[in-house]
Amino acid sequence: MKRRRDLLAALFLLPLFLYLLVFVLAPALDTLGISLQHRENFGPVQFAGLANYVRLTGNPLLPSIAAFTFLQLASAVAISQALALSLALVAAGLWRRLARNPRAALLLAIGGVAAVFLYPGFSPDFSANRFRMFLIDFALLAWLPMEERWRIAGSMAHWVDTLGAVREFAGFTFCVYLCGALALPRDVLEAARVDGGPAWRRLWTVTLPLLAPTILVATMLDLFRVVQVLDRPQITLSGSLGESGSTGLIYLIQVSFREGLFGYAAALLVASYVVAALAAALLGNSGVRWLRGAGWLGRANRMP
Amino acid sequence: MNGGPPAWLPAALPAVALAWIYATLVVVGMLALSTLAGHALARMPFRWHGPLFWSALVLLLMPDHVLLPALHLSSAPGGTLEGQFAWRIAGSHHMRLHLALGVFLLRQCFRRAPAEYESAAQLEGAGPWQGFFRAALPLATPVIALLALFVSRAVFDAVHELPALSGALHESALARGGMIDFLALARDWRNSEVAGILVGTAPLPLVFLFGLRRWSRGGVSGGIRA
Repeated sequence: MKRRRDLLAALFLLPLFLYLLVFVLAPALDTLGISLQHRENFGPVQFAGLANYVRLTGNPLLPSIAAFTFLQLASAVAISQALALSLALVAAGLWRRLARNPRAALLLAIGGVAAVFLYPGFSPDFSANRFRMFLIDFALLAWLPMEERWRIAGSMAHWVDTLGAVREFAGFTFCVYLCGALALPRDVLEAARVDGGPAWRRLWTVTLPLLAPTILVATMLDLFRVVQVLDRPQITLSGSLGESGSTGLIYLIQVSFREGLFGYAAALLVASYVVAALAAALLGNSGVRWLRGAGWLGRANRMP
Repeated sequence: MNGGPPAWLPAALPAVALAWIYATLVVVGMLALSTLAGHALARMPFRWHGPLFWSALVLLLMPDHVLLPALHLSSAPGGTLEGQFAWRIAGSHHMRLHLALGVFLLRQCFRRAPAEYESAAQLEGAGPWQGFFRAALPLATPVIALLALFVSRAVFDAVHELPALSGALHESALARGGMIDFLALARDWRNSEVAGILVGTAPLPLVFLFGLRRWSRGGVSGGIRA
């Protein structure tokens, strides 16, 4: 019986793991192998052992690149989360008020979600470049040398570009939060409202603790999605950023596709993925414990 | 008028087929993989359950860039970003991005949905597959609709990458620095190919609208919770 159950589970999981084997695990192991080689573009392959990793430790640029990447990632995720959560809470409140009129609620829901998803907005590439040109000609920067104006404009446009990319994800995060907010138990929210107290306190002590698991999932997914777009400035603003304004991905593209040092680039990728995965696992574990234990759900934050 | 097919048809048909096959593979494949895996991880207490779930999550959440050197070097020396390389990138990127979400959401959904229906179906003599298709799957349709909504929109957004998937479409579009560029086709006045790709992706807005309707009617039983 137990064996049959294991076999059945294996059959259900087989398609997923076949996909992962072909599209993820095989190339990932290949990248690991490349990180142990001296490899320049499609040139000859020479075993390097851990030389690429040793070379990484002596790279003076890495701390500043790591700090800049973290700053971009944290600010982008925080803005996206705050925007999506506040919009979702407002939308959920409207939904509840319109609950007596299901047709209106349905129209509102379809209209809201369609607007978030279908609105194309401005093109991030176009907006970043336009913003950069605007800053270069900006009167307050006119007293600076042209080279410095290019650097400042490139750096500012970098942020605009990253935030433009984040805006694309806010719709998705909004839907995740809307689902979570609409699934909150109405009796608890109503009891908190009857008990009185300012709205911000009800939000902090009732709504957000109840939403904590959803916040955890949404943040995790947002982090994963934002990491993927931190190389966009390289595409739109190539050349004007300089090494100090480099995210990890921009540096990676520089090392691999421009300089052709694929062995070194692979070592950089493997090392940064291992560090990031360990940090995420540790922080995620502590975060979950905090949420379930002494944090929002602890005594100090309970309603009087 | 010579009565034969219009001149633009031979160029448009491969584009229609390519776009249609790609969109169907990604949307249907993603939904099928995540539904099966979500059900197994939620309802079947098998050996190695925890390690398998976490290893799947680690692989699904691995950034695309980790795979890029291997994928690039596995393409032909001096080759551009088309053909097999583009298919592997597309398969890795578009499906994996949503598979992580899909497996997680459906696992949570099946965990929260009442198991009595499936048990009753099995007591009535249904096999595990029948129980899954007839009793468990209908309970998850709002979540599946939500996922269909996200994936269809993401694939439609990636329409500019489609010319790279076929050697027949890309000659001039990809020659410029190896960039995958849908607009290059338009700039070259290859209108029949551009139109073919757009026609091929026409089912995606339908999936989007169906997903929107089913999801909004199904309420919020998505169970988006950790």
